[in-house]
Amino acid sequence: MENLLKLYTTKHLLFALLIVAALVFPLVASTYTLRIITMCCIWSMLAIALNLIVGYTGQGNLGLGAFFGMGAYTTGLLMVKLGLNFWLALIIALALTVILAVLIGLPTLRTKGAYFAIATLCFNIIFTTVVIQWDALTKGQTGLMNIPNVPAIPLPFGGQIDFHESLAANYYLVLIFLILTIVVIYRIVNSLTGKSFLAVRQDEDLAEAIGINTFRAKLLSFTVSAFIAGLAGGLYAVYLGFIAPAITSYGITFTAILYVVVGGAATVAGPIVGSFLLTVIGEQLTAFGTLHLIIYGVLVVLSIIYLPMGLVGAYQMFWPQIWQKMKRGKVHAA
Amino acid sequence: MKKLDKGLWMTALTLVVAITFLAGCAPSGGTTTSTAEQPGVVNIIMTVPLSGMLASFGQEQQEGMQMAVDEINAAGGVKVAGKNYLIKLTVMDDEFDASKGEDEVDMMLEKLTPKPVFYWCGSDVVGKVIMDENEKENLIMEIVSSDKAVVSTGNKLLIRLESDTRDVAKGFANITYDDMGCKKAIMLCGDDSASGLYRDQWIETYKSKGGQLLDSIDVDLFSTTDFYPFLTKAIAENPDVISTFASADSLVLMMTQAQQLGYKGKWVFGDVTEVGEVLHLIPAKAMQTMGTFCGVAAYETATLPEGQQTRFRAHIKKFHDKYGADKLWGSIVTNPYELCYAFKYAMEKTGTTTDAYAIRAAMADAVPVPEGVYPFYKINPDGSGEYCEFANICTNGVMGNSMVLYGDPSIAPKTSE
Amino acid sequence: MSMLLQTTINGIVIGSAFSLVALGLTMIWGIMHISNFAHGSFYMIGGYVIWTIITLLGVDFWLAILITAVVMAIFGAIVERLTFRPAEGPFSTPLSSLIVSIGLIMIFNNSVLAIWGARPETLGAINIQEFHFLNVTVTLQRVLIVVAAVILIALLQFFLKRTTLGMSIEATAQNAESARLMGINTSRVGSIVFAMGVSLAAIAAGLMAPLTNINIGMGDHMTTYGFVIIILGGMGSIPGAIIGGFILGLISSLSATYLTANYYEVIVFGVLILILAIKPTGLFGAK
Repeated sequence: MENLLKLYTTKHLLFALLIVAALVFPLVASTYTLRIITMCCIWSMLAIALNLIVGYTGQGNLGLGAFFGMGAYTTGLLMVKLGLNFWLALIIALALTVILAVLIGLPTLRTKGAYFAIATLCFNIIFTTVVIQWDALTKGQTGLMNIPNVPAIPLPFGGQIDFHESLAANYYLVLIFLILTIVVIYRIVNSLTGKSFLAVRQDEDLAEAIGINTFRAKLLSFTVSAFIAGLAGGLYAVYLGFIAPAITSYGITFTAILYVVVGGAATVAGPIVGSFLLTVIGEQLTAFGTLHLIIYGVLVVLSIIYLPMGLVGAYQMFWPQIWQKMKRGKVHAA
Repeated sequence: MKKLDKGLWMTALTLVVAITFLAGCAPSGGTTTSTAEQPGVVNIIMTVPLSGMLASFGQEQQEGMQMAVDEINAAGGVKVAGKNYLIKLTVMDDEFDASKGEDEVDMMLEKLTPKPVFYWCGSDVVGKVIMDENEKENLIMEIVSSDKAVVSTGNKLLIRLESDTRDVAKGFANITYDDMGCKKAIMLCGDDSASGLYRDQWIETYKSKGGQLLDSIDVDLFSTTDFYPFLTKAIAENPDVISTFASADSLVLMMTQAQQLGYKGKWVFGDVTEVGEVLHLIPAKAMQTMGTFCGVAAYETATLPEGQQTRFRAHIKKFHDKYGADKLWGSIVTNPYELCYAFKYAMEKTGTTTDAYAIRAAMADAVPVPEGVYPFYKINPDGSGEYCEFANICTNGVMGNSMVLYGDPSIAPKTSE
Repeated sequence: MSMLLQTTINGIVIGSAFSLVALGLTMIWGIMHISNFAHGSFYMIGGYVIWTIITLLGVDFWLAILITAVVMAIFGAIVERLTFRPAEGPFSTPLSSLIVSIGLIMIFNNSVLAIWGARPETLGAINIQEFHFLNVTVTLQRVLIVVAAVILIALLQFFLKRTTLGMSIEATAQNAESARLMGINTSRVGSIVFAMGVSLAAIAAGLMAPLTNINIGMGDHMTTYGFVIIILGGMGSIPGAIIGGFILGLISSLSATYLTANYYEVIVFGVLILILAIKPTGLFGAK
C-alpha cells in the first residue's frame, strides 16, 4: 500500500515536472523546434480525440478527419467571411461540429465493427468532396487564405500577448488547450461514463445486459471525440492561417490512428507519446531524401509487429513485472 | 526461446530507431565549415512535393534548379565583391503538407550557414503559409502557385513566375468563341486548384461573349478509373467544343475515348497541356482522324524566332543528357533554372550575398537571363512574372501567336503582330 | 435511350473491375479478418507490373496478364508472411491490420515512385476495335474486361466448390476452429487466400490498364470502393462482393451521367450510409 502511494506521488511529480518543462520550453527552443512541438500538440489533441472513440469505446471511427476539417473550416470561414473574432468563431464552430457529429452518429452508430468503420469513412469522403466542390464557399482546392491570428490579449500590467508576432504565444495557446483536453479525458475515462465506454468495447451485448445504454454511451463518446477533433481543427486553422481540403480527408484520421496505436490505445498518455515520437522520427527521417517515407513505413510495420499494444501499453504491461523482479532481486541480495 | 526471440527483435527495433535518429542528425550537423581560402557558400533552399501524386511536378522543379546550380558551380560559382561563392542546394520533400513544409523551411533556416536568402517553394499550400514570414526571415521566396492572389499582399520578397491561368483562360475562351466559332461548350477539367481557377475564368469569359455553357464537369484526373461515364454525359449534350484543363496523359485518354464514343466536335486545351507531349503520346496520324481541334501551343518551338529555336533545342538536349530522354522540358523545369541564374546575376551586381531586399530588386533587372530559353522576360514589382510569349499572348485576353495544329485551317486565329 | 444503354454498359465494365477487386478483399476478410487497406496499392503495383512486362518483354497482353497474376500472387504471399501474419498475435486488435496497411501503403507508393518514377505510364492502344450498335460504342477491350471477369468469377466458384483446396478455404471461412480440428492447415489457407486476393486485384488492374493512366493514385478509389462493396454485400460474402461490385459500378456510372458528375461520389457513398442506416449489416448481411 505504501509502495502504491509512493508510485502515485511519483507519477504526480513527474506530471508536474513535465508541465514545468513544457512551460519553460519556448525559452530554450529554436523556432523550428517550437513549431514542430506546437504541431505535435495539435496532432496530440486529434489523437486523444480518436483514442476516446477508437481506443476506449472500441468503435473504429474513420471519419474523424471530417470533424477536424469541420472545426478548421468553420472557424476559418467565420473569421474570414464574417470577420468574427477567433473566440466567437471557435465557439460557433464547435457547436456546429457537435451538431454534425450527432447527425452523423445517429445513423452510423447503429452499425457495428467494420460496418461502422466504413460508414464513417464514407461520410468523410462525402465531407471532403463537398469541401472541394462547394468552392463558392470554401474556395475549393485553392484553399482558404489569410485567416487572421488570435486577437491580442491585453495584460493587466500593460503590454499584450501578441499572437501575430510571437510563436511562443501560439504555442502556449495550443498547450493550454492540450492540457485542458488531457484533464478532461483523464476525468472522463476514470469516471463511470468512462467505465461504460470500456464495457461497450469489451462486449456490447453484455454491457447492454447489465443496464448500460450502449447506444447513448457510443453517441456520447463519438460526439465528445468530434468536439475535441473540431477544437484541434480550429486551432490548426488559426495557427497556420491557411487551410486546404486535404486536412479534411480520411488520411488525417489514418495518421491519428497511427499515433494512437503506436503510442498505446486506451491509455491516456499513448496518443501524446505517439504523436510526439512519430512526428520527431518523421522529421529526422527526411534526411534520407526520397527514401524517407519508405523507412517510415517499415518502422510503422515493425512497431505493430513487435509492440502491438503500443509503447505506453507495453510499459504498463511489462513495467510491473520488471519492477517485481527487481524488488525480488533486492530481497535476495539482502 | 520464443520470448528471447522477441526480446532480440525489440532490441533490434530500438537500434534501428536510434541509428535512424543519429543518421538523421548527422547531415544537418556538419554542413559548412568554410575557411578563408575556400570559396564561400550561398545556400538555396527548396521544398517541393517528392512523394504522392504531385511527385513528378516536384521532381521537375528540382531538376531544373539542380541543373542551373551545377552549371554555375562548374563555371566557378558566383563572384561577389572579389570572392567566389559556390551555390549549395538543399531540397526537401514537403509531402504537399502545409505544416510539414513550414517546419522544413524553419529547420533549413536554422541549420544552414550561411543563412539562406533564396527559397523555392514548389507547393502553393506551403507557400501560402510561409508567405507571412519570409520578409521577417530576410528570405526571397518564389512560390509556385496558380493563384494570382498570392502576389497581391505587398510582400517585397515574393516572386510568383507562373503565368496566370486566369489570364490564359480569357484568351482561350475568346479563341474558342471568335475564331473557332464554337457556340456550345462543355468544360471538362481536373479538380485541382489550378484547374478550378482556369475553369471559372474560362466560363465567365465564354458566357460574356454569348457562348452557351452546357455543363461543367470536374474529374479527379489522377485516380478516376474510367472516363467513359463523364464523357458519355458530356457528349450526350452535343457540344461544339470540349474545353479542358488537364495534363497531357489524361487529355490523350479523354480524346481517344471521346472519339470512340462518337464525338466529332473540337477540343481546346489549357496551357497546362504541352502540345508537344500530346503529339508524342498520340501518333499525329491518329490525331488527324480525331476531328478538328485547336491546340494553342504557346511553347511550341515553331513559334519562336530562329535563333531562339536553336538555343531551345540545345537546351532540351542538355537536359535530356543529364536526366534522361523521357523527361519533359517545360516551364516547370525552366522557371527554377532561369530564376537561379537571375539570383546569381543579382548577387554579382549588388555585391552582396546576404541582403535579400537588394538582391530581389536586382533580380528584376537581371531578367531575361542570357541562359534562358523561353524566358519570362520580366518580374513585376509585385512579384508576378511574365513570359515573352505570354506577354503578348495573354494581355487583355487577346490571343496571338497561337497555333492550330491540325484540321480545318479556317479556324486558325488571326496572328497579331 | 441509347444514353441509358451506354451508361449501363459503362457501369458493367467498371463494375467488373470493382467485382474482382472486392472479391479479393472479401475473401481476405472472410478467412483472415484482415482489413487490407493496402489493397488498392496492390492494384496499383499490378498496373505497373503489367506495364513493365509488356514494355520490356514485349509479350502479348493476355500472357502479360497471366505473368502479372502469378508474380503478384507470389508477391502477395511474401508480403502477407512478412507483415500481416506476424502482426497477428494475442495483443493484436482490429486496428493492427489497418496499421500494417498504412505502413504498406507508404512503402509501396514510395517504392513505386523510386522504381518507376513519378510520371504516369500508359499502355497505349490495346484491343481498340470498336463495335457500334444502337448508337452505343463498345471497344473490344471493354468487352474482354467483362468476359474475363465473368470467366474468372466462374473459375473461382469452381475452385471453391469442387477442389479440395477450395473446399478447405470454404471450411476455414465458415469456422476456422473446426477447420483446424479437421486437419486443415489454416495458416497455409490464409496465405493462399491472400495471394489470390492480391492476384485478383492485379488482374483487374491489368484489364483496366489500357483504359487509364498507370500512376500511383490509380488504386486509391479501388480501396474505398472495394470496402464499400464488401460492406454492401456483407463482409466475407463472395456472391455479395460480385453483385455489390456490379451494383456500385452501375450506381457510379448512372449517377455521374444522369445526376451530378461533380458530386457523384456523394451519391455513391451516401447510398451506402443510407443502406446501413436502414439495414446495419449491409444488403446481403446475414444477421
